[in-house]
Amino acid sequence: MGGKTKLLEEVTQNLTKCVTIDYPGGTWPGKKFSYIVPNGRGKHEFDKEKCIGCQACRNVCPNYTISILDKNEERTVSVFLGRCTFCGRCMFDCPEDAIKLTPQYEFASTSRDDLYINNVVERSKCKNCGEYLFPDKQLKRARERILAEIDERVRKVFEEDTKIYLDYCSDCRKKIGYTMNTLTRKYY
Amino acid sequence: MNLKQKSRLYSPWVFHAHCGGCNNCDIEVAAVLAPRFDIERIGAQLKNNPRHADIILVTGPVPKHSAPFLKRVYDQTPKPKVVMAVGGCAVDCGPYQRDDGKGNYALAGATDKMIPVDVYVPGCPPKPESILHGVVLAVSKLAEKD
Repeated sequence: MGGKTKLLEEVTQNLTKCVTIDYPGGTWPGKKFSYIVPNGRGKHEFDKEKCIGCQACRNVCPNYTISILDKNEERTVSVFLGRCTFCGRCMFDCPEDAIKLTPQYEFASTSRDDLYINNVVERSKCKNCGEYLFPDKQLKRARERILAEIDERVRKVFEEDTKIYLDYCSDCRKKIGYTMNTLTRKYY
Repeated sequence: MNLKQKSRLYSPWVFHAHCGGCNNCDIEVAAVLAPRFDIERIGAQLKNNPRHADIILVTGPVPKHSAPFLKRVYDQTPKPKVVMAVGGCAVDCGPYQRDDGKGNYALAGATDKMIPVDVYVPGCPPKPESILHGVVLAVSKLAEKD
């Protein structure tokens, strides 16, 4: 009985009121774009202060959407919306919560170049040979994370060592490592 | 704006060219035609003949087999015409092709390698609302070409 009356109610409602939804949908109080579902997955957004350029989003992307270009001082993390399936794995697996999928759905464009979303991270330089290394922020963040997990007896020595080590690339570390006076030290 | 241009802009007719793929974009296009997302509010209508159409709506990664047909459809539509690439496959072959430049043995490439594309609608599949937004963009593009 209950099911049938509910069905009748819905049928009468659909006959009387307008089914067509408004376009465009609702808007946030502070934001410009409209949304359909508040937590829906749409256009990407980078938090430029948080992003360290660690490539975790590139490695995890199932559709080869995110590519990374290294050019001298800059590393650009670029998302090509044309390939994206909006699965949200880059958002879930980002260690810094820097990339987010906003509920914006209106990203149709008349040129292909508008479909790229870029973020530029600066890279650090090797003191000895002048070659460009990983991004500055990534090295800093990695150091912090290691220091938090490392054994207390080694922490102080490690902290001093990393200050010397991190300015050089891996090849130069092998070549001029003996001048740093860090290898012969007793750790505990 | 004369009467001919006005009537064209207020009732753009759409031809849907299906070029392979998983049919998910086609289901979304069907949803756009239905009363919930009603595309007829902007006067657009689906036509089964490219000779009647103003907008060509392409879905799917274009396989080698259907590439000549897509070109023929493009030649058959009268000017001015606008091409929409709907879905990740039509924009850049999507999950069917890796991004390493080798390509897929069965595909002829993205839509803009065959015919000039005016409006890109990304998404996998695109939401019905974003297809609506794409059609509105295509109409504004038609007004420029007229």
